[in-house]
Amino acid sequence: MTSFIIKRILLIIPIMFVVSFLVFSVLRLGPVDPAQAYLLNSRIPPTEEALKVTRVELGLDKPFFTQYAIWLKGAVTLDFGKSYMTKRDALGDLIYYFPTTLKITFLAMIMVIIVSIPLGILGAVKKDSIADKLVKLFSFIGVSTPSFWFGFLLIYLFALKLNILPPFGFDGISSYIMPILTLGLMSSAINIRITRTSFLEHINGRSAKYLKIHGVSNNTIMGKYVLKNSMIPVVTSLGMHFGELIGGAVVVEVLFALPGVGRYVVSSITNHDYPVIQCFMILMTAVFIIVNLIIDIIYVYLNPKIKYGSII
Amino acid sequence: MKEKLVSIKNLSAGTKYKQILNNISFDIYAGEILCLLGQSGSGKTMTASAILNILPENVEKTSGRILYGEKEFHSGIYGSYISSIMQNPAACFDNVFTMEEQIKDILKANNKDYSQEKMCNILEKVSLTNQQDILNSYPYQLSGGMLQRVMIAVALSLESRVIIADEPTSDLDVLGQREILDLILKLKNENSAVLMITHNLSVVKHMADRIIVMENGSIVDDFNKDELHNNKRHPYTQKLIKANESQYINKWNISFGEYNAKM
Repeated sequence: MTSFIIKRILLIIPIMFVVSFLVFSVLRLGPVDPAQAYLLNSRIPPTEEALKVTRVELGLDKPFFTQYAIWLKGAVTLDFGKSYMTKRDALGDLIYYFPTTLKITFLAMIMVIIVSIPLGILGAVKKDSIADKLVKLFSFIGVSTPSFWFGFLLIYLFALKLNILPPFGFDGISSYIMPILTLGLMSSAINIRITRTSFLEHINGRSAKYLKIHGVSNNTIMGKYVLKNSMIPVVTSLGMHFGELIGGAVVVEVLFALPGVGRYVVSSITNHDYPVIQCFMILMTAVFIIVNLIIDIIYVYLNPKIKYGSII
Repeated sequence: MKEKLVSIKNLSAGTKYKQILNNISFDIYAGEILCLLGQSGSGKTMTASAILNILPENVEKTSGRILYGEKEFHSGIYGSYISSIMQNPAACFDNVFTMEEQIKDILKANNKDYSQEKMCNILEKVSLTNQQDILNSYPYQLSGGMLQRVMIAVALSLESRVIIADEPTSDLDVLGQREILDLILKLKNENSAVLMITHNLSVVKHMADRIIVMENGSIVDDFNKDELHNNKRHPYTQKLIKANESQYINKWNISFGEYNAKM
């Protein structure tokens, strides 16, 4: 297990390197001159002279690979350059906004886990009962409801009509409830289906039947054997949903006017603020890799086939 | 007089649209091997599944009774009464748990000693060496033959009086088949009854005391082994015997006569 984790951690280095190169290159493929964007953001007329000075100032006059090497050298020491808009350290700005986004994402992830796994299991164990039909209905509605529309409905009901939750902005813990529900709904609905299907498959599996024939109690079969087996695809799916949740957080931050990284990055993209976009991409890659590393470790625990070879 | 262990009375089962088992009745006696013979799809495995109460989801028992001695056999009377050696052993054990955990849970559920020593002993009974390694292994790390032996070991350790063996040799090579069949004979010698499901006539000839032939979910013939080549056999039984004697089919079967002669 330790060597598996070490290998996965070491793998982060080349992944980050490739991502950093791709991000740096793709941004520079765009039609917009960053020096011009910088000047416009600074409200300076982009004259030929001003553009020339700015290019030198920002290091844009150097060859592509030299620019990349300089940027990479800085990135290794966590210096991602200064934002064209705020003139502040890009990483510092993102670190200021990032906790809100991460908080929403992780809380939505927790919601997905505590809603989808029990409901999926309930649907499987009580297959074709009223409970199962309600679970399927919830899952169907959840999958087919657009997040932003669901967010509006929540605001209308809980903020405007019932007046029990704040509609916008950050005003204590209650401000997180509607954003989390909005963000987690679709992933929960999808995961309910995955959990239900996986659980059903293993309830009717031959190994469960063999144990049943030999008198092992239903509680042991369900709670130990079927549960562990059925969690393998669920954990894989949760890993993929994390990326979706982070992406969805941007919409939710706009909808509920939360001071998250999403809104800041969207405005950076509009203003061609390269240092911020590059720093954001690197940060997101790091978070995504770490979350997937955790998912992989859980996966190895659940599925021993990954860590052991055959003894035959 | 032979002790009657299990009675199947007028057992019928089917899906919403199709009848799969039609009025099946037979008894299983202590110390005998009863072979259920028939083509694929004749209802052999379904009969065993009905006895074990593990019918597929869409199949229901529509009528009939299953008695263990004089006692009605409901779901929940397993393990110590009836044990099973199923086909495709790799799918019968759970690949995310070690063999030790699975055997331990079975022994525990049947109030048997599940100490490390006891588990090694039961594996030794079926000639498995490196018992501790096997206990520490996951099922996918063991061969089909090893897993079949573990199933037999479980049946032996539970001291089940009735063992249902569904195509126990289907995935094994000739030597593996021979070893498993010898172990099943050992179960019979311990005064257990074995209900063996097979479509392999050579295995039937070697193992059976009594043979029941099934066709399309019904019993068409029920006779002792020495009556196998009797002219009064049901036409379907005669057809099966003829087909099995043809070269094409026989190359996949073991001829015990030849095997013994070479040994």
